[in-house]
Amino acid sequence: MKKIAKIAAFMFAFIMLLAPCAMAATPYDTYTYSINGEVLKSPDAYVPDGVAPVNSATIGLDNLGGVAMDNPTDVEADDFGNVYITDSNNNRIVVVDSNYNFKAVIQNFVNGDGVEDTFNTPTSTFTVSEGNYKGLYVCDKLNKRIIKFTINEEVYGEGAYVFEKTFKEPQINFSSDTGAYTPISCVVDKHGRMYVVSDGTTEGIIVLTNEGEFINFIGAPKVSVSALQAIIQTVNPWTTLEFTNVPTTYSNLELDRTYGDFVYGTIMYNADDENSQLTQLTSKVTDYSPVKLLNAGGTDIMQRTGFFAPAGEVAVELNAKVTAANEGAPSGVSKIIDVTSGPDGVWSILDNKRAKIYTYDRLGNLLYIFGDVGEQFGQVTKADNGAGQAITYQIYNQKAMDEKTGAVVDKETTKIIVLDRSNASLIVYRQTEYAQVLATAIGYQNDGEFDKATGAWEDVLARNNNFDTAYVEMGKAIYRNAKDRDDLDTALAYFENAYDTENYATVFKAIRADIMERYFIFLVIGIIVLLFVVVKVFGYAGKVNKAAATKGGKRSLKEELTYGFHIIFHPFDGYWDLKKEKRGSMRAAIIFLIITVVAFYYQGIGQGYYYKPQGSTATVISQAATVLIPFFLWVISNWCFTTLFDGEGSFKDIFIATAYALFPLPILVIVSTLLTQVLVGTESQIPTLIISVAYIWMAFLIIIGMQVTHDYSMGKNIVTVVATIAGMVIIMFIVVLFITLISKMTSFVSTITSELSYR
Amino acid sequence: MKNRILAALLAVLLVGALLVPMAVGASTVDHMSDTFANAEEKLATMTYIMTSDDPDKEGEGDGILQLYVDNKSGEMAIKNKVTGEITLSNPYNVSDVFPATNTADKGYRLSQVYVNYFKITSGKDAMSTLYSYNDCFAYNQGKISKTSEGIRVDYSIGEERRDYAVPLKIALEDFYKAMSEGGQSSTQIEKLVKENFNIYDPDQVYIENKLLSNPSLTLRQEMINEHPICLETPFIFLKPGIYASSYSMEVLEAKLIAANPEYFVLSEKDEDGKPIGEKTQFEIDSEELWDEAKDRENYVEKEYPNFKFTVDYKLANDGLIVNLDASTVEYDKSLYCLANITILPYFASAALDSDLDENGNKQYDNGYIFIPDGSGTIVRFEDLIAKKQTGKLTSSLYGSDYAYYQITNKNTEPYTMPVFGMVNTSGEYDKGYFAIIEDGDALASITANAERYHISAYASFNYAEYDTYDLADAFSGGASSSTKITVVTDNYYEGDYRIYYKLLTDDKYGFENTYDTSYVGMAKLYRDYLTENGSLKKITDVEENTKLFLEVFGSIKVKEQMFSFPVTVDKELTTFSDIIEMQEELSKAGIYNNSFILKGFYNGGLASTYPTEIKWQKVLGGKDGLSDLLDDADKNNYDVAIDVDFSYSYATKWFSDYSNSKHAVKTLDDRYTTKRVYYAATQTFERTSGVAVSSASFITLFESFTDSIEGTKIKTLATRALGSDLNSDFDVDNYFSREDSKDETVEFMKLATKLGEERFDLIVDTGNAYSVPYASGVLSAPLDSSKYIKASESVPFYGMVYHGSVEFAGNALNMEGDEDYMLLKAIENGATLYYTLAKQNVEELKFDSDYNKYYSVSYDFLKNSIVENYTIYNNAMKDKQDKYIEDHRFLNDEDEDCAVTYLDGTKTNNSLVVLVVYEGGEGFILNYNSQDVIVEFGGEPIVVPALGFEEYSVKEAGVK
Repeated sequence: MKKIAKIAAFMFAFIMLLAPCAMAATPYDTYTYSINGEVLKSPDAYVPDGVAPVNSATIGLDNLGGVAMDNPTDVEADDFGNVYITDSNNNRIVVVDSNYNFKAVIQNFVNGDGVEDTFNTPTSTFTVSEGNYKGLYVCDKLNKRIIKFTINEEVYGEGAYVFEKTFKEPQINFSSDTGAYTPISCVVDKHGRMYVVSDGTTEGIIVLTNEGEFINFIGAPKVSVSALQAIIQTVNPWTTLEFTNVPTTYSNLELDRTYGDFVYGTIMYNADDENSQLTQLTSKVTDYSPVKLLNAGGTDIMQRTGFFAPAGEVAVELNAKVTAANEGAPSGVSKIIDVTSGPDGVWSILDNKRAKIYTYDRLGNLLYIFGDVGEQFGQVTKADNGAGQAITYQIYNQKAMDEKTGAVVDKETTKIIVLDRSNASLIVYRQTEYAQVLATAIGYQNDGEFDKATGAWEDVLARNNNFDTAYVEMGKAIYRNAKDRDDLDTALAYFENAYDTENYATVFKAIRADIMERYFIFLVIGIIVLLFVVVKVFGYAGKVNKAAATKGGKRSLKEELTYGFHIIFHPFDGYWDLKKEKRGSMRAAIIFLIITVVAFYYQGIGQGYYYKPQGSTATVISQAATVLIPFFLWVISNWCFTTLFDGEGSFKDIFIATAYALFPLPILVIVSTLLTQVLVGTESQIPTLIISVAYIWMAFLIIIGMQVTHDYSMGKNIVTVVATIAGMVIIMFIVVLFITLISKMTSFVSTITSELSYR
Repeated sequence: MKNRILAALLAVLLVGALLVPMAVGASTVDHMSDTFANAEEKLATMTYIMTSDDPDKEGEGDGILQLYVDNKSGEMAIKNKVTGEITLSNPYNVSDVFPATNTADKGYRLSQVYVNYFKITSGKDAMSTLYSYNDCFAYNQGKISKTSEGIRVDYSIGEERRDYAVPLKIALEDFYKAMSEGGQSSTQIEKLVKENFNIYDPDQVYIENKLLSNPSLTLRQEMINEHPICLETPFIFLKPGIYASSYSMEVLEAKLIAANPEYFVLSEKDEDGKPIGEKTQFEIDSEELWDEAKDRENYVEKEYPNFKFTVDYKLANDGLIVNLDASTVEYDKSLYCLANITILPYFASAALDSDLDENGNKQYDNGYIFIPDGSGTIVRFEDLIAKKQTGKLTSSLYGSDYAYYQITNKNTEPYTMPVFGMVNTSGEYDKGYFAIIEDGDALASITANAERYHISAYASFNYAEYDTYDLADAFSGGASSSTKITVVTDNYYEGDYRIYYKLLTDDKYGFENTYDTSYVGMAKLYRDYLTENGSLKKITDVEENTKLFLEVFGSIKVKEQMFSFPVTVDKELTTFSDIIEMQEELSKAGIYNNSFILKGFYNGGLASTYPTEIKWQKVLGGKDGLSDLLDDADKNNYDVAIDVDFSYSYATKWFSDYSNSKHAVKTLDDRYTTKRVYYAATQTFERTSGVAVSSASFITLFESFTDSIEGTKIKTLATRALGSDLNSDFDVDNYFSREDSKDETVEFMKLATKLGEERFDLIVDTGNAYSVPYASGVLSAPLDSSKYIKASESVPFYGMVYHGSVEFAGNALNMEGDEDYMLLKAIENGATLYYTLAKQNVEELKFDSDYNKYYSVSYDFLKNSIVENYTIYNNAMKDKQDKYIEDHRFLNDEDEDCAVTYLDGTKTNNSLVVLVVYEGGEGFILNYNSQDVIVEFGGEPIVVPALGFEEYSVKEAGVK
């Protein structure tokens, strides 16, 4: 398994080598992944806004004689564009307006008891901009409470945020001794329910009523009990069947913006498990889901229909070899530190290892990845605690001048803000036209307006012909509305462009049906002709064989070759004659071997699109190796054993017998390869089945052939066959061992020499 | 090459002839403790050397600048005798700002030269630095002499450890004898012995100050076992601690010489055999004893790296020319690698956070550093304070060198111009300087430096080239760590490192022919400098409309299935006739001054073999198609350029004039190398398919190329990497340093353009300074800076220098994340527009891993946007094509004359609204905000749309 993972990692690395990116004016490249895990460059979706990060100086904190921000832990934006920065070490919340100018500092407030109060290490904020629960909620971590403030939108400075309510520590019976109420992240849904993440709690997310009373824990997946365990537990009277929760530590929460009552949660995974996480990442198993979308009942309702599970970086290598050239590059799965919900059901996560932002749509399709670690504006500073701490969408109406009328109007603006914790600053990214077009397409898609969506996807494709999702959606739309063959062909081309074999198969079948319908007569005629030819060929072969059987003397090559047809159907008697009557020959055997190699090469290169969407990498050498290596291993190994076991066959006999046994392979391999051109989807089993039949047939022939050649009894024959197989393994092992040793020696010597020559 | 050697020889002869030994009174300043209130006080302690010559006058010494030097530290001062302005090579206030004990930091600030070196056996991770004050002048190892043009300093950096006339091991009796003969009392001798030596005498064991008057038997036996000779000859050993310290050795030596001068032999002998020179050896230091000593390892020779070279400081009438002749560099090359040399790290440095004012607030100078990062960037001193972003900002010139294993410039814009500068506006007058690296630029890197108390900018130069490899690469096993090994070259740079510091003076003194102390002034200065030395020529006749560069892709190799067999076919992306059609169509929309750059039209399309012989792609129309296109271009007056990449080879072919073994770049470990790009997914650099070709081969290979295109009417070549990539070649037989590579590239471009005659016009990428004089167009020119967080704003320095002389464009607009932003940058820099296009089958690009970065190149889709953007751009810029950029400023609230507000009434305080003024006073106000702004600036308020611009006439508005 590990080896497979390694090979997979190597494949990724190989693919990546071939896809360089050009430098752009933004200090990072934006990219996506194709269905097959290839990195594809994408137009920038978000670009840094302004000239510099927003920090204490640009906010104006310094000018007010204030203290600079220190270790901020969270950023949050409300619907008016105000941005709340949780300045944790200074025990305050810094509020800036939509232009990132100073608005207010929330530090000292008079609490419900009329007493001056302060925060103790606040960690995050949440805002509700309208409705009954409107207000600013602050997780006051070490005071074990959540405090709500009323928002006075137009006021700057004092009075902008007035204390409204304290949600004190609720009565919770934590089952584990690690459990203590330390709120670090909270959201409030449209019904007023509060969802709270408590630091270190492994039981999931805490749900509170709008009055702060404890309801339950949600979001920790139940342990699945295996059937065996269940039986043991049922049978064994001393154990009780118990479904415990998997310890799950959430790190951050976000309310789903579209519906207002689902909650995104990011989960902290144990870094030690990265190996299994990596496997799950590529195999799309959803046990590893660093982001969940939970409904009020705690069920994960996230759709994961994208090419890869939405878990950040896809092409990851675990324990990547650190070389002088790639020092400091991140390895392993993404560390998802925060999630934010945007318009049209789009959501983004922040990878603290890579300082990258991954954006997905409602269905879990990866839209774009951008961001980088570094010292340029738009990049996030790397520090001991990673790069980047929090992320939020900032969506609000901005004043703009209407181009035609000259009147001042409201214009919706979408930005993404990332909190650079170690640099105590905010990096603001503004949406580009490409992201807007993409959002439009997704919007139509979400609303079920597929016709409009098609137009929008077309627009997306024109701007980014690397975007597989758009190809797939376009293909689907065209297929849905297909009127004629041309439409089907177009749809097929779209799926081909995205390497989407499943949809390809569907359309291909439609096209195939169309062809069959149209040319039914020709098809029938074709099949009849084909059958006729087959019958004729076999008939002819039979005739030649019959004539040759009685002829005696030296046989022609034609006779030796056609004898193959006889052997494959009459093995006992065929092999007897092969040896005793010299019906076959070495030259014919070699020709059979060559035919087999050619057939395998054809299989390598000639399979239909459905089977090898990315084209073939087969070469004559590689295909010859797959045939010749096992062949010779068998012959040599068999010869070794049968000589010991009084076999009557010489090396030449074994060679010829085995080569004649190969004959079903080329015939059926070619047939199956031809079939791959027309069979797709579930039908793809048929060519596989044919190949299996060929192998079984061949094995059968070999066994019989050996028995006859060596004049063994059935029992002895089986023993030698088993021994031969074991012998093949041993020979392989020795050869591999030898090669490895040699290569190790060479690399050792070459390393020593190069080291000596450099020093 | 020949010319260079000749020039160097001449220079040496000249300077040598003019050398006059300098007679100067010794400076009495104690550099570690004396404080100075200002530069004037510091100047008063320095020695006057000379006054500059005015190039316009005949006599000597009638210029305005005067050079002073401190002969104990090498510090220099340049005084403008008209304004009284003083520019110091090192800050005057080191003793003020650093505590008395911090001699190290003081010494760094007092140094004119730093050398970075490492010991070869330890590898480059053991890099350390020596400083010209701490490690040269502090030991009196610097020699300053006066030349006819200024001063020459012979640096010997790194303590020169000499042999001390101190015995390491001597028989006790001999020592007493020698000392007592010199008249020392036995108490005195005993004291001397006990302080400095360990005594090995069975009767009085005395080790490390512990007297064991009655040594125990075991101890005594131990000593005898170890040093049996002590039974016969009791002896003394010099204490290792004394030996290790030069200071202690010097003191001890002085004491011993004072005690008995007779016992010291002199190092040299005169003609009569009479000893003269320094006293180096204690006569009776006995070798036999020494050889027997088992604990000799205590006296392992400490290492004394020492680097010698000569620097000339020449005074010009507008500044200082610093020249370091690399052929004078001397050091032990078998032991050390001199990685780089930094010159004048604190020239004209500004104060950072140095003093408290009367209110107890920290103060700092106002002003900025200019560095040529991309289009140019300024680092404002106040931003360094506000952002708490002190430290260094360094980059090498001219981008990456792919002959090296390690590449570092990820996501950054290249430094294309060998210049930097500084403006200081805090005093009563503005001052500053602008430095031009005149020689050694390909080996240079430029640093903006803000560390405790001082801000400065400087250049460093690579000397010995070295590289680090992973040995573990050889093992296939999955080792997660690797063995690194550093390889150092055997070839060294022999040319000069020369920087010309031109001083800028406040225009309030009313000097004629001086430049404003600002980045605008610097740009004009550099523009004039380049124009005067013939590198730039102002455009005289221009087309009516601005140029549009259109890169078009030819054909691409595609795998197709034919009757279930895979075949590779050439798929056309743009045919020759497509281009004719595109030109027709665009002309109808008013875009006819086009320059098509044909990429991938020969030798197999986009992944073409090296252009030593050219076969035009049949599927695109073949040779006839090309002729038709060139005829049409002639007839309809548009340009067609052929993209030929001489710098990289993408596919090799048998029996071709090009072969990797003959022509490719070799790394220090003798391998081929490829271009590398930063790869976003893994955040590392990955190799591409392009094998780097040595510039040494360009000219030969070019001849094959010209032969093979004989008969075609090709006039323009897009030899793009010549302007952007500069690779060394560490081939042992034909070593080419980066500087050699630069010279050869220039030679090649000269040949290809054959200045004066008609040959090829060349279009290059990026426009590294050396390539621009020979280029008719520059693509992918940097129009923005790297936007380092440490830096403040990007300035269009590139545009201010080149617009009006060279036609250049930024990156292809359709490949930019933010078209509107880049369109503004184009207008700010005076760059024209550029697109990358293909007419058909664009989706095929997705399947080619080298070309799938071109995600949107469809001409049919982009047509409208091209017309739209070009029209906006052309209307704004068509009458400014031959006009220099005259002024540039940031419009914001801090400026008294102007107010910028958002539509919601909030005032802006950022630098996102800029004014750029072209010759004649016409210009634009550009708004980089993502929202609309109202600008009030000398006249009616103007609304400038988000990421848009408005025309603005300085003349009409009546502002200066």
